[in-house]
Amino acid sequence: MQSIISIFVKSVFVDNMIFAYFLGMCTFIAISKEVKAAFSLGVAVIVALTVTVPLNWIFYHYFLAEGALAWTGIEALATIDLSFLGLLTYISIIAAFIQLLEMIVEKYYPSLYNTLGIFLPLLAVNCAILAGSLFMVGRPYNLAEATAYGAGSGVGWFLAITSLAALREKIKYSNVPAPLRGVGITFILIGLMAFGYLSFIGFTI
Amino acid sequence: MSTESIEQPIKQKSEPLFGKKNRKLLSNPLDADNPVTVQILGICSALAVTVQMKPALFMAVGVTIIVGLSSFIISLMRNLIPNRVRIIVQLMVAATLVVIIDQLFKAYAYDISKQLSVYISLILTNCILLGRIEAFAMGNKPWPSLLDGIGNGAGYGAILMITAVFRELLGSGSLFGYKLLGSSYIGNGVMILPAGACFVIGLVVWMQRARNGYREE
Amino acid sequence: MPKPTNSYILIFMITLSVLSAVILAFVSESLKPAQIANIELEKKKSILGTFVDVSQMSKEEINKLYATKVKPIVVSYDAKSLELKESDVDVSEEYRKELKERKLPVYQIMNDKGELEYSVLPLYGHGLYDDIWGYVAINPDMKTINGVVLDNKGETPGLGARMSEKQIADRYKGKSIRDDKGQVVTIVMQKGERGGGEVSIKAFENEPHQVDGLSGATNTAKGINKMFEDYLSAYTAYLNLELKK
Repeated sequence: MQSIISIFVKSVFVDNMIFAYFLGMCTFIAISKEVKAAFSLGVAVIVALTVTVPLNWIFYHYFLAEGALAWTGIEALATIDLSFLGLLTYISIIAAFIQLLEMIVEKYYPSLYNTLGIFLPLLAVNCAILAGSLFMVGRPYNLAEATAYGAGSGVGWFLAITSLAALREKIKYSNVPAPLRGVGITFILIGLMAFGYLSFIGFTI
Repeated sequence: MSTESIEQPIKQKSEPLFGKKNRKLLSNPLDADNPVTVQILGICSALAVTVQMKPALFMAVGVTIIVGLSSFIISLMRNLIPNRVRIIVQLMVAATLVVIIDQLFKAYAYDISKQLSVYISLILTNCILLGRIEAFAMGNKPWPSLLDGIGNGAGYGAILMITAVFRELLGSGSLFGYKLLGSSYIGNGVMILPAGACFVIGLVVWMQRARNGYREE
Repeated sequence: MPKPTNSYILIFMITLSVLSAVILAFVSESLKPAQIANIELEKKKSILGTFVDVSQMSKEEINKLYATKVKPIVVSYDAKSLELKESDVDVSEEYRKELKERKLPVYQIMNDKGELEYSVLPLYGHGLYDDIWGYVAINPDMKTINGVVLDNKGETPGLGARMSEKQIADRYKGKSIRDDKGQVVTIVMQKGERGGGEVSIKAFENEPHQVDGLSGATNTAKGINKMFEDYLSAYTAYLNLELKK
């Protein structure tokens, strides 16, 4: 239990997808002009990471890794290493899940779909979601830890985009040099925020 | 990426292979329509792999090849792809190419592939890749699609290299691993951290916009 | 095109999946030997790097030197030699096991007369973000360190990732892994950094069990210390046994 909590906290603050690895930046910059939209997208990222990371964990450990097919009991399959199909599998699972999520939300929660809808297709190409699965495979997590890692990374991303959106709403009223307005000053803001997050490295959990 | 609308298909009839329009496809993304600083795509790896010139160069080459080839392949089969599953099809074609490049790097440029680690795989979700496929290759013939892909890859590579020059020179006092600033130079830690790349790219955007006169309100 | 039927979509997707899987299988199979050779070479380089300068050597020279000098063996926690090939032991997997159950490879370096020149021990641990590893060469007195090679894959560039630099490894040269009574002790990287390069080495000249730290990378240093403590204690029985010989 302790390891699960520590993995969760670590992936929110220390291993933050945005400020430690700078992943999912395209959507991070594009959708952080307003807090409301940023909030919705953040929630969608939490859902996507919490589900796809453990899902890919299952696929990796029961189908793809070397010797993963041993459970089938067929000897010829026991030594097969399919890890070269990893990337293809992860992205298909992510894309399929997001498509499914979109359909479910559209059918049963139309009001949610109106706010969240346009962001859902963006998730399939969000580096942070794919990176969640890629990092998970490189680490010796079990299923529960992988879920905690996915959820934590999502929450970290959510925090990052909501706080950046809040800053950008405020900076509209500041006198920024004209060519620097918009994207330019946003990059500098992100750099400064990343320094803030660096201080979390000192945490021992 | 889907904020862009599908661009107008280019008329092909009297267009030579390197005609004016086709040359524009190559040169526009280098500056006026740069994928990184203007379209704001593919930022993640621009920040992560630019500590040194060498990995940045390999990354730039890898992305250019992948974007060019996958645009080409998707454009070849654009009339066969069922619309409902097109995103998955695009992803699968791109993923296959990404894995091939990744495996090639692992076999023939092991040191570089170690430094780039997951960022090679992450080319797959580099928005430039799917952005160009969706916005251009799905509606244009193979040859212009290939040029468009290569042009955008090169535009991305140019920003990568500019950022890497600043970061390696100021951060470690060297370029391509050769010490230029002498051993007494103490590296600037900010440039080595990924956060430093944010500042460099922010300044590059500033410079470019000041020159081009582009404003954002 | 007209609206595609479901069966068309299904056939299209299956063809595409099979096609890409076949291409990938082919690529991965044909490149595998080169990839494995790279990983092997990297390991050989690290092992040899603990006692010679490998930076200028070609691939062939490294393979040749490794073949003539290095004799790998595998021992258990109580120094019983195990009938195992070294290539079957994966240090990163053994690391996840309990200390006493690990299979421990030792790379014995032989001189021309067939005498033991160094024992190179693998190290493995966890830094701030990801795994870290290394090799340490112990002199035949089973006490002083001849050299170490450290490496990482995910530490912060410019801070923790500096652990892989040669100047950090040089700090471990000549340190002692035994106290006055002859008990095996670990080498501790200190907090803070005195200056780097020669300054760092000089500052701890008279401290046989301490080395200078990495400024700004406290948690990576903790990982390195844990790694040394872990593996030096795992190999204690081996070190004592060799000392008696």
